[in-house]
Amino acid sequence: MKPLNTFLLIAPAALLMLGVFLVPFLLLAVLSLWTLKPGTLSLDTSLTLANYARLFGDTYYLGSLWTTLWMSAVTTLACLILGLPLAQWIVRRAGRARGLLIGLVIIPMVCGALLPTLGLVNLLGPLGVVNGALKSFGLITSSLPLLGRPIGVIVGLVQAFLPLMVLPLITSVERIPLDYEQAAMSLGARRVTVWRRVLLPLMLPGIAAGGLLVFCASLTAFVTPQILGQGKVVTFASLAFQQASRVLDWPFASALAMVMLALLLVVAGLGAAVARFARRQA
Amino acid sequence: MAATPYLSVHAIQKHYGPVAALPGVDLDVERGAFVALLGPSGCGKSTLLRILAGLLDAEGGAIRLDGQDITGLPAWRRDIGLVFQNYALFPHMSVRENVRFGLDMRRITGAEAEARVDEALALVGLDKHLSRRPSELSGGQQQRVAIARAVAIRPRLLLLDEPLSNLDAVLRTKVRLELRELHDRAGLTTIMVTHDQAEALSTADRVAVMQAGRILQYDTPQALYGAPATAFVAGFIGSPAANLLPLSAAGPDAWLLADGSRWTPPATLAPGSAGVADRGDYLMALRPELLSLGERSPDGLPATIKAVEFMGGDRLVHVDVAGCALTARLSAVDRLPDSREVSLRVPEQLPLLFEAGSGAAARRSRVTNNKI
Amino acid sequence: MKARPADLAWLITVILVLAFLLAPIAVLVFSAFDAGNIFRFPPRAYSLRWFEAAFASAEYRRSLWVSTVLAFVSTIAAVTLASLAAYGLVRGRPVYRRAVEVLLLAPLTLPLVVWAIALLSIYASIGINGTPLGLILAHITITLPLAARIMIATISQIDPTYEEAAESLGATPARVFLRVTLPLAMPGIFASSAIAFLVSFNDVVVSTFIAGASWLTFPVRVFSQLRSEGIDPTTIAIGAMIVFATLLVVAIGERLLKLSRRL
Ligand SMILES: Nc1ncnc2c1ncn2[C@@H]1O[C@H](COP(=O)(O)OP(=O)(O)OP(=O)(O)O)[C@@H](O)[C@H]1O
Ligand SMILES: [Mg+2]
Repeated sequence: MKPLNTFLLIAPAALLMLGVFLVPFLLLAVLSLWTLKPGTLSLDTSLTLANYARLFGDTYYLGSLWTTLWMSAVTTLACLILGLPLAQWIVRRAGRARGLLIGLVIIPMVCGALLPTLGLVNLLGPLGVVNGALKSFGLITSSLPLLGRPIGVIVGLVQAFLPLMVLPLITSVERIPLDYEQAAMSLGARRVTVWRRVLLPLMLPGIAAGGLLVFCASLTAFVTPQILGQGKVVTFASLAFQQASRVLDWPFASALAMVMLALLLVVAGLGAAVARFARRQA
Repeated sequence: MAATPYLSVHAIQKHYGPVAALPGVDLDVERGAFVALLGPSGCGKSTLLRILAGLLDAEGGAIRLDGQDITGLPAWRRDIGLVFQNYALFPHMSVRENVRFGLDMRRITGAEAEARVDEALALVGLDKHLSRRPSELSGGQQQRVAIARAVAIRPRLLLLDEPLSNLDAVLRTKVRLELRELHDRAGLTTIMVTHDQAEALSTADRVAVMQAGRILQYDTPQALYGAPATAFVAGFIGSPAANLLPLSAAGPDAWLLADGSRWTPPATLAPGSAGVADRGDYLMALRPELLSLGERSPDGLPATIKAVEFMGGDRLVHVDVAGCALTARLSAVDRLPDSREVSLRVPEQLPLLFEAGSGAAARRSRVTNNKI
Repeated sequence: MKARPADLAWLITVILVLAFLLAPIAVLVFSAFDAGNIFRFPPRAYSLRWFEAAFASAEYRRSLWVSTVLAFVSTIAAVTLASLAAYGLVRGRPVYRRAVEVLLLAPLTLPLVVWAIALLSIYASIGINGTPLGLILAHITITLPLAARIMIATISQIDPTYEEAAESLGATPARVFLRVTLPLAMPGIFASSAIAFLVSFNDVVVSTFIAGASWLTFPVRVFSQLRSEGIDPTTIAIGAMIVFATLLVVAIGERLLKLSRRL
């Protein structure tokens, strides 16, 4: 193919992503240094760190940042604990069953953030399935408050983002030939030892990739926290959403977004370092 | 030289990065000829074939086909049929649709197209399973479809890239005869790439032996065997290939072997009658099937038997001569000498000698022309 | 193989995890049949009244229509752009291939919320916030990476000798593409269309930021309503139908195209 034709084929998609995706990210950085003129909606375009000062000087914002961080960490860990046995199980199924199982796993992904969350409200709500079932078994008399608390939000996040963990895990487990395991067993290793010494190191890249995806997604989620948190669990992304969509303070929203981005870059860097370290050990 | 050749390839060059896959290849093919490109893996055979087909652009040189300069012509305007090593049959089309594809592209439709499809399928002897998908055919059948598809466009030139390499040994021998028959019946001009010399020697009118992007010799199969132009060709053609015995001339009557011992051969094999200088290092090509073994004698080469391989009709005897491993092919009924210390007897005819450094023929037993 | 206690425990774990994963969707569908104004478990009565309400509501019909049109247009544009780019990247093998791939796939790893905030302010400043154009551009941007990933894999798996064979048989580059490359890429095109459509139709994260009053997609309408008025059972009924359609698409895609293996 001629280089010009190659370029012409690629250009439309690349230009779109450049203009509509990449450029806004760059403008975000600039926007976060502007401010809103007090009492108006017009922008003061002199560069200042005022937004960041406001953010880091206010315990409300810092508290929400902390809540978001620990909830994301718990979500990631929970996804890993639930995802590992599931991924390993799926990989061992024969073709047809495996396809079906993976199909089930991706359903929450393609259903979007909203519909499963609606289901969760009816699952966890005061009159919902969990409380209703517990009550009819006589285990509780008054409803457990699951919504409007971090626990409810975490359940929602884990449910929504588990596929992001399972898919990379499946990919990395698939690359491990069954022979390794059998070879290790034939050498007299016990199951647990095989798992720890052979499988785990080989799965680390998948764990790092999946963990990163889940952490990023949880850190920036706002639909699930808003609905399940019922305004009582304020995550960082919901703050940014409120500032951008309700308060219309875009510069401050941009600063919040920049902080999320910076956190993600740090976590991604850590993840890459861990993966590299693991590869060297393996 | 007669009139301009049907296909003339001149100074074709191709580099992959800094590596020259083809440093400058010349090749002339007559109308109706069956030519084989023979060479070890990676020598540039496929590259040359793809340049001929127009699927790769050469960096320099020219290709003329039937009086037309086709160097810059895109593949789809060349009318050159190509059979791929993996056949490349379209998986989403039936056998018939595959064969008709080239006719569709030429806007040949209806009864004429059907007739030509039938004709091409008849040429390769395929009359069943025509509405199946390629994946439902055996390897041999797929190969026939691939050939029929290339032949249906009535190509000006038919190119075959290792057409037999995906077939089992028995089928391979059968199909190579059929290929030749098909070529003759359809009046094609064919170039076949192969790294199997039996295939090349048995099928082709002319064989071009390639090494590292160069054509070392382009000749009839008989000439390649009888008068190899270089030590590489001698050491490549034949099964097993010719032994190359290093030696240096020690006056007109005697040779020095690698370990410094002196060999005074029969007069016809001596440096003097071979017409080479009194001094200098050479390689003497010894065809395994022309060697024989006997009791130690002064004009034979002193040899030690190392191993004997039974091959059915004959035996391969591996011997050590002055530190070099040589092979002789003896009929299974020939008696082997009792002792392991034997004499290797070289037939008394003009030897094939090559200069040790360059590998070029030091002396030709017969003059051959390099062009057809 | 003998079933050992550890294997049994493993099986039970897997079933529980899958149940957890699918429970919300199952509850959503189940609760659509509750006759009450507020879902309670166990329901007092079952009925189809919320489905009837869903079909009767012009307001919801309109937002579903907006979602459908938006998803349809974005899918066609994203899959077309992604397919062309994938073809150029895989077959043209330009030196900048790596860089473009990173660019095209970036939205899969970068947080969409951060991007949506930036997009909102840009849209507002050039005046296309809340317009169909703005929504379509945004939806192409979130679906194109998914389509690009599938199409790059699809075209990489098509043996280039098919295209060369067609060319040597006299097919012009355009006809090579139409008669050979396109048919062989069809499974990938269907798969990426299915995924792109579902993701666009169900998107709420990005659309919530940039949707205007006149162009409200169904998920955006439900989300904003939810924050102000709580759950309208009608939306549950519609949600159940969307889930059902989604399951159908995934099941058919899985059966015919091995959808899950292409993600
Ligand atoms: N696309 C490419 N990029 C870089 N080098 C290449 C490419 N194609 C071929 N080569 C190199 O060019 C040389 C000639 O390759 P070619 O495929 O023509 O060999 P061949 O004689 O057909 O070998 P074989 O018998 O294995 O098919 C080889 O050394 C190969 O490594
Ligand atoms: Mg080759």
